[in-house]
Amino acid sequence: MMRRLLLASLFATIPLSACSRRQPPPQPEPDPPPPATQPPTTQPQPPAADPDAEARRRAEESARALAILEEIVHFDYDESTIRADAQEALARKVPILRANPGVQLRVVGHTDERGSVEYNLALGMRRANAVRDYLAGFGIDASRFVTTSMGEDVPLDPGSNERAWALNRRAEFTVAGGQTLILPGS
Amino acid sequence: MQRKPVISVGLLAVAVSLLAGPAPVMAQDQPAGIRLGAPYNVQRPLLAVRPLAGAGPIAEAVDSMTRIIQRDLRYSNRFSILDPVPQQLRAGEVEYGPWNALNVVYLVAGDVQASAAGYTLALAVHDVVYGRVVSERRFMLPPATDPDFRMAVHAISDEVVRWTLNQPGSAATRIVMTRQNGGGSYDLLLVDSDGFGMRRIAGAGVQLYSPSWSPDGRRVLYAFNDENRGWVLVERDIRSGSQRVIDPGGDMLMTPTYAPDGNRIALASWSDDGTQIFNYDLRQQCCLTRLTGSSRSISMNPEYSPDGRQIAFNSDRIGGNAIFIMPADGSGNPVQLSPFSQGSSYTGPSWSPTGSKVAFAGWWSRQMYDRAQIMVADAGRPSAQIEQITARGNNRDPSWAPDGRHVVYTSTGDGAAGLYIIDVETKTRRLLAGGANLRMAEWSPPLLRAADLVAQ
Repeated sequence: MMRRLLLASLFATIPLSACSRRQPPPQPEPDPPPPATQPPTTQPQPPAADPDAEARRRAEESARALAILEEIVHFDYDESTIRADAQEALARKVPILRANPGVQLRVVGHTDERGSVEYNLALGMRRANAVRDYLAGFGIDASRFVTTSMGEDVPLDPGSNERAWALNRRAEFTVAGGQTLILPGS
Repeated sequence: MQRKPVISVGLLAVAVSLLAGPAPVMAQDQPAGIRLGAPYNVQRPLLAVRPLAGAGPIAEAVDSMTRIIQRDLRYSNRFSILDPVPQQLRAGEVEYGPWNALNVVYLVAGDVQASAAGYTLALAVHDVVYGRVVSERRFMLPPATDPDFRMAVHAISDEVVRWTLNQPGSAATRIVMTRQNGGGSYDLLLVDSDGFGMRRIAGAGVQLYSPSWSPDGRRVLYAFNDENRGWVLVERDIRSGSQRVIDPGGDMLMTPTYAPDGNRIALASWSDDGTQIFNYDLRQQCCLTRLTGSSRSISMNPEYSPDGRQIAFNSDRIGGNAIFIMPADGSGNPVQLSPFSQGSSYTGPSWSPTGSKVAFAGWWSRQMYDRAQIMVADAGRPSAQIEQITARGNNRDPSWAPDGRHVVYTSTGDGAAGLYIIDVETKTRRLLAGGANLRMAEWSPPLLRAADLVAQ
C-alpha cells in the first residue's frame, strides 16, 4: 500500500493521457514567436549567438527524446514476450533514461478484445511488467517505472479484425518527472 | 408460368429452429470432448394465465400483474404458453372442460382486491388434466407505484413454477453488469431479469470490474481502480446505496467472489509471481491466503461451488487458459475441467447454484478465437463430454440464474451485441439488454420469495 500511495503521489501532477484520454497528451514547448520589432530575416544566424534559437534547439531535442520514450511497442497474440521490433524500440529508450535520471515512465499494458475481459486486464499487466523488466535489464532502476493495465478497454483501432488486434496488443508510455529532456548524442 | 413455391408450416418451423439454434456448419470441426447442443423441442406442458379479475381503479395494475406473470412463465421456458387466452374463457367460474379441450395442463387464475397496503391477490393454480386445484393462496402486494411492485409479482411467478413443477424460478432476480463507456468511464448497472428497469447504481472515471452478488442478494462486491489507492474492493449495499472499501492489501485486486456463507471472499491479485487466487475473511478482516501455487501463471475468476467446498477458476498454467477445480482451501492438485486441444482457451467459469454444472467461455482452436462459445461441463465428471450451448458470434462471461437452467452472457449475437439469456435445456435465447459495451454480467440469487408476501 505504501508503494502504491507513493507512486500515486509522484504521478499526481502529470496528465496521464495515455490511459484516460481525458486530457491532451503533453506537448513539447511551443516555439517562441519571432520578436515583433525585428523583421524576419532570411539570413541564417549562428545558433549559439541567438538565445531563442538555442531554446528552440533544446525544445526540439526534448520533443525528439519524448517521442522515443513514448514510442509504443506491440505484442503477439496472448504473449508478453518482447518481440525483436519491440526490443529495438525499448533499446532506443535506454540512453535517454540514463541521460535523464529524474524521468519516470508509466507503462500501460493493453490487449486485443479476444478472451475474457478480466484475463485481458491481467495480460495487460503482464505485458507492462515484461517491458519494465526488459528495461531494468539494461540497468535502469525498476522503481522508475509504474506499470498498469487497461486490458482491452482502450483500443487504438476499434475494429474486430487481425489488423486492429495487432495494433491494440501494446504497451504505451507516459513520461513524468522531466520538463526538458536531454537527447544524448545531439 | 411456374407456380409460386409454397413453404409449408412444417418447413418453416424447421427453418426457424435452424436460425434460432446452433449453426450446423460448425459441427464438422467439433473436437472429441465437446458436443454441440441441439435445440431441444421437448414437449412442455401447456399453461394458461387467465387475466386476473379486478376492476375499477385497480384495473390497470391488475392487467399489469397478468402480463408480468405470463411473460415470466414464458421466460421460464418450462411451459408452452396459451396466448391469447380465448375471449369466452377470460372470466367467470373456472370450468375445466373448455381448458381441457385446448390441451391446457395448468391454469393460473385469481382475483385482486385493493387493500390498505396495496393489493390482495387470491391466486390459484389448477391442474386441468386431473381437474383439481394444485395450490391456492392469498398474497399481499405493494401498490403499482411502489418500486417493489414488479419484484413482488415476479416472486408470484416463481411460486407458480414451484407449485406446478416443484422447481426453482428465476423471475424475482436482477442482473448486475458493467458498462464501459470509453474515455476511461465505467458504470455499474442493474436490470430486472425481464429486462425492465435498467439503471446505473455506481460509476466512475476509473476501472470498475467484476461485480459479484452477496449470497443474500443485498450487496454487490466489485474491483475498483481508485486513483489514489490503486485497486481496492468495494462492497455496495443495493438498497441503501452505502458502500465500504475492502482493502485486504496486495496489488491489483481482481475478480472478487463471495463464498456461499457470505463471510469469506475469494479473489485474484497480481504479484511479481503472476496472478494468483487468494481468500480473505470478511468478518475478521484478515489475511490474504494464497490458494493457487503455479508460479508466474495467471489464475483468476474463482467461483465457489454451492456447498462452498470447491472453487472453479481459470488458469494459463498449461499454456493456454483452461478451467480447473480445486478444494476451497487450495489443498491438493487442481483437476482440469475443460478439454485441452492445441490453441484452446477457456475462461470465466460460473458454477450452477443448483448442482454440479459449470459454464465457461472459450474456443478449442486458434481458427475460432474470435468466436468464443459458451460451454457447460459437469464438475462431478471432469472427463465427461462437455456441451457447447451457443454457436453464433463471440460469446463471453456466462453467469447462471438461480434456477440452474438459464445463463446470461455477453454476445455479439447475430449482429445485435448485448447481454443474452439462454435456456440450457431448450437453447431458447432472448436479448436481455442491447449494447456492445455491457460486460461481466452476474445473475443475482432470488431477491424475494412469495412466502414473504403471504397474507395473514
